[in-house]
Formats: sequence, C-alpha cells, structure tokens
Amino acid sequence: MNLDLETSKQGETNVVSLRGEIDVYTAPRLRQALIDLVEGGAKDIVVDMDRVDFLDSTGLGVLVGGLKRVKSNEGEMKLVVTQDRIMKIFDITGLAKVFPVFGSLEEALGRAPQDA
Amino acid sequence: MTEEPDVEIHIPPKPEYVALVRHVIGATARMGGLSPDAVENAKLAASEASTNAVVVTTKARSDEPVRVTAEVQGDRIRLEVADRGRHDEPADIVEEMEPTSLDFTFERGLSLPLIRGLADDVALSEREGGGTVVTMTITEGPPEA
Repeated sequence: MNLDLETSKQGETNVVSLRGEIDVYTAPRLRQALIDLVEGGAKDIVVDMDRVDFLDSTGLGVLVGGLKRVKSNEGEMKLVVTQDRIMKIFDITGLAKVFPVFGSLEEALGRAPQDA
Repeated sequence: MTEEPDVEIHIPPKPEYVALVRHVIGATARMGGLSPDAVENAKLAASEASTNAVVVTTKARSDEPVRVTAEVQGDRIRLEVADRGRHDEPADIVEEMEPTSLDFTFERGLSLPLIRGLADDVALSEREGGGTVVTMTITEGPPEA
C-alpha cells in the first residue's frame, strides 16, 4: 500500500499527480505537498487523481484544506477525477459542489479535449 | 451474534494498519460473492470506521488493538469495528488533520456522513468494558448519485 506523488509545472499551473491510495496513513504527504506548493507561491493547482485507487474522508479533508489555502492565496484548485467510485465519494459528501472537477488533465488545464 | 464471524482481525491502533483492514474486508466481500460496487463500499466503510477507531484509541493513549469482524450474509456483509477509545466527537479525524480550517463546514466530520452514504445501516454502541462498537451492513449500496 502506497501513494506516489509527483509535482510538475504545466505553464503557470502546478500539477500534483497521485497514484495509489489516499488514507489516514498517506494523506499527510499530500497535505504537506499542497502546503509546500502554496508556501512556494503557487496559485493554480491541479490535483490529478486519475490513478488513485482509493480515497477516504481523510484524503477529502486534506483536499479541502488545500483548497482553502490556495484560495487564501487568490489561487484556484482543480481536481481531475476519472473513476466513478472516486467521484461517488465527492457526491455523497457534497464536495462535488465545492471543487471544480474535470474528466481529464487537458480539460483541467483549459486545453480543448481531443476529439474522439 | 451467536454465530462466529467469517473473519476477525485485530490491528495495532496505528494509521498504517488501516490499509490491512481494507484489503482483508475487500477480499472477504469478494470471496462472499458480493458485487464489485458492494466490495468497494465495504472497503471504504471499514476503512472509515477503522480510521476513527485508531484515532480515538490513540487519543485515549491506549495501545489496545482495534477489532474488526466481517460476516457475509447472502448479498450483504455485516461489519463490526470495536475500539477502546472514546467517541466524544465521532469522526473528528479530518478536523485533527486540518486544525486551521474549522470554519469550513464541509471539512468537519466527513467520515460518518460518508459511512451513512455507503451502508444500509450504521449504529454506534458502547462496548462492554469500555470503548465503542460501530456496526454496519452493506448490500449493493445506495442508488448512484
């Protein structure tokens, strides 16, 4: 059980790519990564959860905390959620209305999605 | 329960062991023939309840193990998570992790609402000898939102 976390820059946007499971054990790393980004002056952050297998309320709390920090920096935090079972967790908790959620990284970055 | 549960595990009250509960419960639900949705719901509900149990046990400065039992009954799985902690504030883990953001209402107590959204029923009761038992039943889960 693990969480891989990578940060990169796409233009002015900071992308946090996650892979694995976000729970009470791994969420503190995500929390710290978001804090480091905001303290480093990051304004716009995209958290890419395309390859996240598991997310619980601890992870949700960390995302909400990150959103709040980013907003206090007058920035924006977007999420990429591609799996129904992860999206369901945002729906149940009402957080789907709090985060801008996108179906792909390209859309979150404001690039036109590829035509099918 | 008069019958023995299908599965019973005891974990140290430490965050890294919650994943173990999740995988054991997921495997138990799968082997019991539950649908993939129900398996995922059971994993998440067990994970949420175990996380709470670990947090309240740690807060109570106890190292008593958290006990998790699972029993598949037809198309449903019954889960029980028992700790020796105190649930003064049920599901306050999230608040613990983000103490600077109490004004954000969504951030507080996400765990129990999440369990309620996943399980057919959830009940908290006092455990004999001190602590709390969370009992949950999961079937096919609620209608898709």
